[in-house]
Amino acid sequence: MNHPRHQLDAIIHNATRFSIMAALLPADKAEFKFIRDTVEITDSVLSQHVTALEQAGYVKVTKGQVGRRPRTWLSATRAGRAAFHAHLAVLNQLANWSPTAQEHRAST
Amino acid sequence: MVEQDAARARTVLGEAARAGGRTTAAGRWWSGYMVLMGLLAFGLIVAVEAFFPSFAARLAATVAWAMAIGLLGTWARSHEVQPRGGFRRLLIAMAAWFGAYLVVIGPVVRWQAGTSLGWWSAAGGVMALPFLVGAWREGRRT
Repeated sequence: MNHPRHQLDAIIHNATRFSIMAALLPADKAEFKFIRDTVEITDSVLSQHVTALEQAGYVKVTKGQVGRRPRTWLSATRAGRAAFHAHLAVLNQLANWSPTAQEHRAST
Repeated sequence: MVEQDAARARTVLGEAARAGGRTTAAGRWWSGYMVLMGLLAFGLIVAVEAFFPSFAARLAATVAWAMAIGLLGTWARSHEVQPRGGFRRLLIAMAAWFGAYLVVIGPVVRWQAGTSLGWWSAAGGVMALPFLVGAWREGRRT
């Protein structure tokens, strides 16, 4: 049970949610449709993923208006950023993981 | 299984890097915004201290400046991405600019040089530096 796979965050393990978080990280806030275009998914799919991320406390949704246009802003919360970085570390481990390297690490 | 995990992890990481890079690129407009704010800050100082000595003219210049700031703010809000830490850097730059004008550089230049255009231009340039530093830091984001 020491495979890094077991340490992955269940909420952002989904590749689309992970990409959403990755797209939100360099921003204080980003518009819903920008994230939709960046992750290349439809409005409804993004809505579903954002609801899941919001329920987990990883994303905050703000509605506002610029001029006459209504806008929905998404931002990553502190918990979301921490979860992303932890998940990222595990993914990096996974990307470079090999059983022999693991055995070598365990023996030293 | 292990190789599949590693390959999938690499794919996800690559996609995440692409998504993050797109957001970073979409937030680059903020450095231009900071430069414009710096130019407005410089313009206000020179206008009220060197060009318009009367109270009414100073007031008119300040109102025009506030309107320009408001328009620029509307333009800023119209962008799809507000880069991380950009607003905080803007607040710090504004506080440093106003503090320098009110307490440090402003009183000294007023006392030593009166309404000299050259002195106030130099002082305005120095006081606008926090905006340019903020713009430079924003531009360095990868």
